[in-house]
Amino acid sequence: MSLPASGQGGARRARPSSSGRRRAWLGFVPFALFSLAFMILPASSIFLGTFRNADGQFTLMNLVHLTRPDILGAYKVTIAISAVTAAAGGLFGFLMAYAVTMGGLPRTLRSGLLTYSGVASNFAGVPLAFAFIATMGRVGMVTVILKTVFGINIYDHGFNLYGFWGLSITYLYFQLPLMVLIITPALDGVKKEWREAAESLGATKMHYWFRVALPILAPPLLSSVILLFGNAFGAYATAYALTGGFIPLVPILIGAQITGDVLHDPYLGYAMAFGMVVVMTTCIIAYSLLQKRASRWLK
Amino acid sequence: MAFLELNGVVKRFGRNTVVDGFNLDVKEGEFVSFLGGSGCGKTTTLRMIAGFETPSEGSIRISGTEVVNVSPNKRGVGMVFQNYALFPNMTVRRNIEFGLKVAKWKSAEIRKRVEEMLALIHMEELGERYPHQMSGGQQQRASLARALAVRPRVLLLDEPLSALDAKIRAMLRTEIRAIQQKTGITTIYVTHDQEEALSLSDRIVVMQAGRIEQVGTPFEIYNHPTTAFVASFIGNLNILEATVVDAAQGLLSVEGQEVRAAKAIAGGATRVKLSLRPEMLSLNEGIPDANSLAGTLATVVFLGSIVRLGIIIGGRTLSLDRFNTPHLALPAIGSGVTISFPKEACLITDRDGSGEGVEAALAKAI
Amino acid sequence: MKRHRGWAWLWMAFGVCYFFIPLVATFMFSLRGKRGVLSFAAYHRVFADPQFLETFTFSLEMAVFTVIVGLALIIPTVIWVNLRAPWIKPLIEGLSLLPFVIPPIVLVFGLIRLYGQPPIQLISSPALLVAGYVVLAFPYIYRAVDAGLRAMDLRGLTEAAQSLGANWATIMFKVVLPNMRVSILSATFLTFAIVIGELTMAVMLAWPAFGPYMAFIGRDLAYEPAALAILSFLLTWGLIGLLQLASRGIGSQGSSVGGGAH
Repeated sequence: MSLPASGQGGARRARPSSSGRRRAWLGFVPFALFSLAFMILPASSIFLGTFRNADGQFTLMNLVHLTRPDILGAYKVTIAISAVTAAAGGLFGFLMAYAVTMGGLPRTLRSGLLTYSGVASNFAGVPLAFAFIATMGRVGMVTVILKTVFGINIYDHGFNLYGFWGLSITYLYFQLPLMVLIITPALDGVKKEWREAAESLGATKMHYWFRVALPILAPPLLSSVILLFGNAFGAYATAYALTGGFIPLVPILIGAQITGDVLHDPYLGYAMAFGMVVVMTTCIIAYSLLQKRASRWLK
Repeated sequence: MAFLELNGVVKRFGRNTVVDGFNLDVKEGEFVSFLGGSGCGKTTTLRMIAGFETPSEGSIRISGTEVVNVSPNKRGVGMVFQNYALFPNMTVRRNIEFGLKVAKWKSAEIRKRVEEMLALIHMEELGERYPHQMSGGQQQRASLARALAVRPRVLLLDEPLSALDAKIRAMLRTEIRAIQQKTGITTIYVTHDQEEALSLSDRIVVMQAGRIEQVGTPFEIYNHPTTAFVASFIGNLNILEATVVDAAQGLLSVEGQEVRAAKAIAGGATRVKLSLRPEMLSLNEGIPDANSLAGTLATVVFLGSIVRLGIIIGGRTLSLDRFNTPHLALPAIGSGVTISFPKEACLITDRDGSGEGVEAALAKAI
Repeated sequence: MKRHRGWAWLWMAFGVCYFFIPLVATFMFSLRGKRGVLSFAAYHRVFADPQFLETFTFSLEMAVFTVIVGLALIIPTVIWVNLRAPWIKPLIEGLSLLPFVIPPIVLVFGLIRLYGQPPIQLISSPALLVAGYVVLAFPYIYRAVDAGLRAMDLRGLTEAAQSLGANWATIMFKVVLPNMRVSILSATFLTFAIVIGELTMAVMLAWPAFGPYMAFIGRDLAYEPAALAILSFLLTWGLIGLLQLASRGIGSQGSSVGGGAH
């Protein structure tokens, strides 16, 4: 690939001529084709399928069918688990990130936590499910220890690893580190001079947190939690490996649809996928808007 | 009893002694600058007064009360930071209100006070602006107003102008001094810029390596430096090597030419340093009873209001400053010239500049 | 200055417990492959299983292809956009959000619908899987490459090289790419981490990959899955560790955020 000379250079660049601009798009073509072929077109075909029926006519019935109780139920459960793990992951991730940034713990703990978070946020899917089965499954180590040493049988008390709360605890294993990784740069951006200025003006710790630090941190905190929500909503592998596809989550239902198991209406599957993309898009829009606000204050 | 007293203040970080025995009495309403290069301990000392660092030893008293164990939010000490530290989520008005709200003032009083402050910094129309919508100079003024709103007993400024460009710095400098004189607040100002220190302060504390080199008025510091460090740190200085010919008579030999100092030379060293301020030197003027050195004109540098001439004497280059006038007539480069200076302009320190055996001569007021 | 560090230590302690207890429990569990005694029997059985090697090798190959295709596609594009068409940047950044908006389960659904039948039938070709993986890895590769280009001041270096008379081949191969070693390594390690254990696409497109293998093992056996989990964790740790080592030159580590859940 031969690149033409970079033109005028320096601080001021004259706008390239229209033919120059057209030629500049050339270099983008390979990637554009790839994106089109393997991202945009597949997504569009899903959308098209959402609004078609078996006879090829335009219809909104597929979307209507989303309100079927079982499907609506799946959406509710998925939203619930995403919200719970986003909130819990957000809260505890924030606390841990706070501990190693503003909380003043030693530098080695900070890099240890960040490194481990990098690993843990990748350690998801099948191996994570296995790990939690080995930990909190019916004969998992922790379950057994609680039974033999403390006499508490958590399964008798209604806990089920393969149910909502078990899945949530498992999801937390990658949600928490994700929060740590995303929120740490924001916490680094909180200048220590703000706290000192507040103190010199007579503020106590509470004053400072509620009037200065938390308002400043609110946008990045919120945007990170939203990102966590989307992350959980779209998750398939962990749920599948843990519950074998039995828990009614939207990704699981879509997966079942692809393999042709449960539903006999492929168009309904497209509608579900469409619904999922709508949720994810809302998340990413909210995230981006909040991030813009955040970056201005925390540069 | 002074308003702000520091006694034997020492600060160590691990094995590093950053401030080594700091003693200072500041009168109420005084404007004192801590001046020095980076790492000299000036900012650390300031932060100890504020309460953000705790002294390893020593005491700090404000208005007679020991404050070393008082937390920073109870000391009544206002602080202005180099990077303004305005709360980005609040307007100027809310920033200024912050300390007042914390102190639970009544709303009517708060409003009145904020208006006063905005008027003080000449930003009456900018109350609803956010920090990111303002220039650096405006942000710093807002920061000052915020600190002053709560009527602190002492105002501390940590290199407040370093982040601003030259023109704004000069303007803001005079504003800060004007405000300080108007409010009469005891002020400590940390800077590495000697021009700032000289033009603003009632007194200057020159620091190096954690210790105080000299405390005095700007006039004293500039004209009567007591240590070699102070002499070379403040202002420009020409430094020449000299051999003592006759200590009692103050006779020196510089690059083979004779120079006479105003007083006898103490210390007994044979090789000393002769320091001369560029503005004390005259070009090609035969002044009676003055020293003169012959040299060659090497460079002419135009600095705006001053023209700086570089003159080679023996192996050294001396700087000589002249005011720039429209009819400035200078000799050609490479021509022989004569420098004259009065005996009193000689500052003599011994060779290693340790400050021992220093003789500071009287200098004529400029 | 008194700092209340107690809370900070508390949260750290909590986090450390939550992170390590499952690992320890899994490890202990995996040692119970032989009745009554602690041993590595489960691990031996895993390694002895021919399918383990087959599927792992398959996923490894897929990872290699993904890295090659991904880098070959993205690096020139990002360089081009940075130098010649900066107005396209927002478009690429928008595109890099697509894999989040279209999670793998939806993406594979679309790929099957589009390429599962004539006129373009790619579904039985591993190329489709690689393409899907490139989409998955694309945001991370992009971020690593972009960070690297920014850190090296791409425009500054190319203009300096041009003013010294270098032609474009020289600039690319002697100036730009050598300075991108860190980005390339980061992108490679992260892509490996994403691809090797990937489940969703591999299962839906019916490929004998490592992810599906682990899932099927989990159906019938008890201790081998735990052993696999530990092995997988060690592998991820190794890859991310290498990534951290490699990216010590570049500033932010945001690129190590992973997508393994999907």
